[in-house]
Amino acid sequence: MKRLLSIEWSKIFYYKSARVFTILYFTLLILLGVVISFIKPNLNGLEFNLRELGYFNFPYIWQNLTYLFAIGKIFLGVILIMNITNEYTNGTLKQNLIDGLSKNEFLSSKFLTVLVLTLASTAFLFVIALILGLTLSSTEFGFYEGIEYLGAYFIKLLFFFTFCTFLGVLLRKSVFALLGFFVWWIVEGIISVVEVLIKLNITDTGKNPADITLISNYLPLGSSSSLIPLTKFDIAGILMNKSAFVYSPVDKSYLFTCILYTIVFALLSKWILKKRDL
Amino acid sequence: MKKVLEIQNLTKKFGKLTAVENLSFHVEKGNIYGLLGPNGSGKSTTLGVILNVTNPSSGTWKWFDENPSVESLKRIGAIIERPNFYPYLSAERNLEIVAKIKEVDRSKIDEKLKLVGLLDRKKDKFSTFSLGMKQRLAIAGALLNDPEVLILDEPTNGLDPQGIIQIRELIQRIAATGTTIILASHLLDEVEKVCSHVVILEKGKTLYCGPVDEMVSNHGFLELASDNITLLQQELNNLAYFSHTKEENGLIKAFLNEEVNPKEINKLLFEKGIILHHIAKRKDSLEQQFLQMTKNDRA
Repeated sequence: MKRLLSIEWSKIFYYKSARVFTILYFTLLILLGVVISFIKPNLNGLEFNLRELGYFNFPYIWQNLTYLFAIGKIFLGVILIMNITNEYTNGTLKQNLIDGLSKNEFLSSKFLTVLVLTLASTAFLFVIALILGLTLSSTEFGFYEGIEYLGAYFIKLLFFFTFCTFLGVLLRKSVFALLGFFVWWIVEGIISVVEVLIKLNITDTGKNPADITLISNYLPLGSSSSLIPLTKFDIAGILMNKSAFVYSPVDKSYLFTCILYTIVFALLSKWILKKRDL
Repeated sequence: MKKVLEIQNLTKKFGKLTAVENLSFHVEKGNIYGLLGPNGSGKSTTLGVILNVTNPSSGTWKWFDENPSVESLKRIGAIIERPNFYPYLSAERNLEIVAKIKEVDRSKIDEKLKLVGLLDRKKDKFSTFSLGMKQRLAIAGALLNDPEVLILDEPTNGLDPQGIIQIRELIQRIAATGTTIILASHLLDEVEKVCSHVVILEKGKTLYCGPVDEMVSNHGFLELASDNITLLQQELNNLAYFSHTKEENGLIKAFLNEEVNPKEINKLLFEKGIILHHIAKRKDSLEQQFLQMTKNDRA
């Protein structure tokens, strides 16, 4: 395992664009943390102070920050796609195999990178959230309240990076992999819309569309985004001078599907690489 | 002789196309093998299969009398088609990755860079290299583990004459150390210059596998010339040594039935009053033999 990590390190660390983007990613996360703790958005003369709304209060801070910071994963996703597709376009995958790396070892080295980046991102978020929470939280809850969202964040990133790796392995060219991601995303969106329309027509119960459980939420990208939803917001909370946010625990079913999809895409990548003539 | 590689009944199909059909041959230790064949005859596919990058449809092969594994690949050095490296890394860093994969000490890197004459360029990025330098770096990479077998697929493809000579000299120097070499090429004169053995492929089948000089069972021919060409040809036809003769550009080519010393012929003709001003014993070039062999196969 040390050997595989060291091979990957040599490939990525000295790759300027990967290095720049990784540094940029972590810098942006810090900036994001700094910015949200200072800004006071002004909407129609009404000043919103995230702090006063209880944005940084435990336990809400975990869900708030994991939701917000998850946007940054696209950065690392692109790096991972480039990392895989470059191996195809440079012919180095072939040369690695000829030099005596097995297909399994090759893929393991890529998934180790995924794991390392996921762990680093999670640890990074943990530190930022802890600093912000300990300095800005105004509730009496301990920092461990709601920390399960950090675990959900780990799974979410692990799934996303595995999915990116899978697209890279499958489509071989970075442009195709990125387009592939986009197409997949749109297709899931269309399926969701169709499902909503059908359900609204059939079960005319007068339910709020937002409360209908959708099967399409369990599609890969759907379950990843449902895993950490936007924190529920309660206007009445502000008026009653309490927290504006409502805590809801991580939905175990989405956690389960995310883990399942991660395993499925990892195995599919393995299968594709094994079957493919390079 | 110890067998380094043995291929048995190898078949590879790409959809409807059969790239390699029931191919069998073996490679013995210490020789330089030329893997010959026109473009599309299955050379690269065969190499791809035995190097674990292409999945065979059927058939087996053995490296060093063992079933193929990642471990056997670490005793081999190979370059396929074109030099494949990370363009953004320096020569040295690229070889570092190879060293890690092959699990050899990194002290080998300078040694091999020196061998191929790239030591002073080791800090330069691969992308700044000329094709000839890239090819030499690839050879350095393949040699990093001091391989028992070196496989080169079209190593001089696209190089300028100087680059070709450099690579050729390098191959001969490596061969002198006792390394078995398999050289795939469609350039016959190239194979003729460096190889002791040939494997000839056509349309995915083996036509011949063995030493270069035993490829075609003939004894070559004599080239002769004298002032009276017609008389010379008549006399030669009367001798039992030759199967037939023919005139070409003022020279007579007489094809031998058996091994003979040209001195003998010269003496015989002199006794008959024919004075030669040219006599030379020649063998068919590999190119002619190759063409003859592939022609026979089609007939």
